Amino acid sequence: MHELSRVMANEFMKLIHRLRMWFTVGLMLVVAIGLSVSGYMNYQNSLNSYSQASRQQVLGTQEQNLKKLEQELKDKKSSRKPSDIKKEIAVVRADIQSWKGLMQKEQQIRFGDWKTFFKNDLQKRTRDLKNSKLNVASAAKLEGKRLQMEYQLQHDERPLLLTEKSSYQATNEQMTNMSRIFLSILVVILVADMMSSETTHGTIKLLLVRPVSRLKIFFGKWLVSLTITLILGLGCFIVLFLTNLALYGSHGAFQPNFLGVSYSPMYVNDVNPGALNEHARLTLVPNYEHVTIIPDWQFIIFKACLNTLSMMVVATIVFLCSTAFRSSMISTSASLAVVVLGNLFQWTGFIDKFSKWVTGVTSNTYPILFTVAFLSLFSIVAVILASRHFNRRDVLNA
Amino acid sequence: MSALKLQNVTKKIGTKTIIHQLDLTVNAGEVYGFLGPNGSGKTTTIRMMVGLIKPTNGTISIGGYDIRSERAKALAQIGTIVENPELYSYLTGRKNLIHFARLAGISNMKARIEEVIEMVDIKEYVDDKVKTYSLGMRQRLGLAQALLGNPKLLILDEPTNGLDPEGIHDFRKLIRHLASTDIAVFISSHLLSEIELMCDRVAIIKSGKVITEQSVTSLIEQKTSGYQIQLKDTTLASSILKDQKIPYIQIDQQTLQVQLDEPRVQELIGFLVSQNIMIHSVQPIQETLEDQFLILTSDKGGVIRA
Ligand SMILES: Nc1ncnc2c1ncn2[C@@H]1O[C@H](COP(=O)(O)OP(=O)(O)OP(=O)(O)O)[C@@H](O)[C@H]1O
Ligand SMILES: [Mg+2]
Repeated sequence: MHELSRVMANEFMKLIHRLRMWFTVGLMLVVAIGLSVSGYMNYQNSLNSYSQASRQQVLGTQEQNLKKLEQELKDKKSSRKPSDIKKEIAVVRADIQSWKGLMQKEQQIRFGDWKTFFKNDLQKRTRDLKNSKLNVASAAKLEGKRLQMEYQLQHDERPLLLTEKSSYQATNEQMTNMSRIFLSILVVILVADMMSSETTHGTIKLLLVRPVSRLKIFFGKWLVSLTITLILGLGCFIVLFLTNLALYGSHGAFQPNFLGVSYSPMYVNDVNPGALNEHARLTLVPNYEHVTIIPDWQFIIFKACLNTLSMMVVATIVFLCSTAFRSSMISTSASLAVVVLGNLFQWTGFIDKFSKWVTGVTSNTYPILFTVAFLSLFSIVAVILASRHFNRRDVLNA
Repeated sequence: MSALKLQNVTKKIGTKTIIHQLDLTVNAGEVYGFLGPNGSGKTTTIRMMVGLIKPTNGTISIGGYDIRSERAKALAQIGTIVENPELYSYLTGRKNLIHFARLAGISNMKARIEEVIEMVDIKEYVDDKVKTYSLGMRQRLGLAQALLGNPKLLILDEPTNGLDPEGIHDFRKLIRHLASTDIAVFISSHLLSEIELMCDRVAIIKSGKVITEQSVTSLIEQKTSGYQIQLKDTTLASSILKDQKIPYIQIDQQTLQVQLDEPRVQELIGFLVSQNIMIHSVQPIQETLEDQFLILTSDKGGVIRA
């Protein structure tokens, strides 16, 4: 154990003296802060269209339209058929109705007694849900909305309007964007030459002639790769969140969010629910059966941890590339290829594909714990096999 | 107990046998030279001794510990440079030493590092990044890291490569000093002249086989006689020598050197004359170790001396 910690101390010393380490950290900061600032600017722009004034304006134009159409209907000289004009009037009226409804609802939520309003709304939605004429997709959407409202009522959390985006919501969105590919590339930059730089520069010869077993060197390097990925991943999400917190403020921490929603592809028919005719289309329909509802602050912590964990799986694979290929350049390109091909290794996507290979069917019902356990086991087995190879191999061309 | 013992060591890579049944022993306090031309298998042998590669056959023990079955104990006895001293160029010399000291598991790290810095005289630049070092400076730092763990056996692969005359002089002095403290030293080289002055014993390896192993004093005393033959033109004569598989050294355009006894030289002269080759003179000479080395390791003659 003592030897392992000395190996790790060495690896950290080497890491922090390398330019690529600071390059990576710099890149991470620039992208994390840049992403949240640009997201905030987009949000500010969109605020204009959500504002009361701009809504009034839209309403005004629609009302003018309505007047014009009614005029046209009275005017016998019009070239259009009265029935067509009547149809158009109906559409515009419905539009005006829904605008007014929306504005009223927002006013109600923001300044009025949102709870009573919500209770009524909830009852209406429950009634709608029993209505068998809804198709699966709309029913699922309604069910999600219903669960959310129930939670908000229960926890006395006033729902946020579109104009009240929270730092938690922003962080949640941006986290997904970042962990897709950017963080994986940072991991490649840091870890891809963990071992191969030693073979490329020949330093591995002086490293492996010490009275420390090769296995300890191998595992020490792996653990340092994992640790640095952990620091980088969590660090990145923390920077992202703190920037958002500064921009959006601290409200919205206790808004509900779903954990464990599974999506399955289903045929949805908007015209005739249940019928498999030309109107049916394939969509992903959420299933809220095994769902847990947690507040947003917990959700983003959970998501950050899971994303970091999946980064650590990526780091493990990259580290194995670094051991397999003796040249830094080849190991880096191989790792990049793996990462680019490897949305595959995003924890949800991967498990899904895996189950498809094994069973030939797609199923999304694997619980998160199973996913985590599977990926950990996969990494550990791979690392043990690689370490045995590393322990035995001849160091000839270094 | 011997500091280093190789028994029947063979290494094959693919189908090619690179080292053939090597036996050698180095005792404590002895400086052992391992001589051979390029590609003869010196580095391969050293890689096996320090556990970087596995012998296909045979055993290697260091201070009585088998390098395979008691690897950690065996490696705790040695300090080594394999080929070039490749160190971390982005760290300072001192950080490199700290790095290797941690792995050597020595108790008083700081003091020991200061000691080796003193021994190889690198105090001036030890706190600079290694990428700014010259080859000789790297070589010294390499020696410093080899000495860190108080080794009982030093295994050095062409350590004088890149050292200036003063550096070589200091190096010899240091090696002799270490040997006097009962440390065994194994040095490979392809330059006999460098080894001659510091070694007690020398083995000469060629194509993976030890062709001779002698104490340096006996090698020097032997002074095998040879003959220098001055000719008008050596082209024809050298091709005849090649045909007859007689080893020779081409000294210059007019001179060939052979290692034959008197009757055989007379025979050779007679033959050359019968082939109408003009001979200016034939002189007996005292061979140096260098000449012997060249003749021993040359492929049936044809070595051109610089
Ligand atoms: N990875 C390898 N695969 C196959 N053959 C190799 C390999 N490495 C070395 N050899 C062969 O092994 C032989 C010995 O090489 P080695 O490096 O031990 O020679 P050396 O005596 O150290 O030479 P030098 O004086 O040039 O350092 C050479 O003929 C070389 O071609
Ligand atoms: Mg060599």
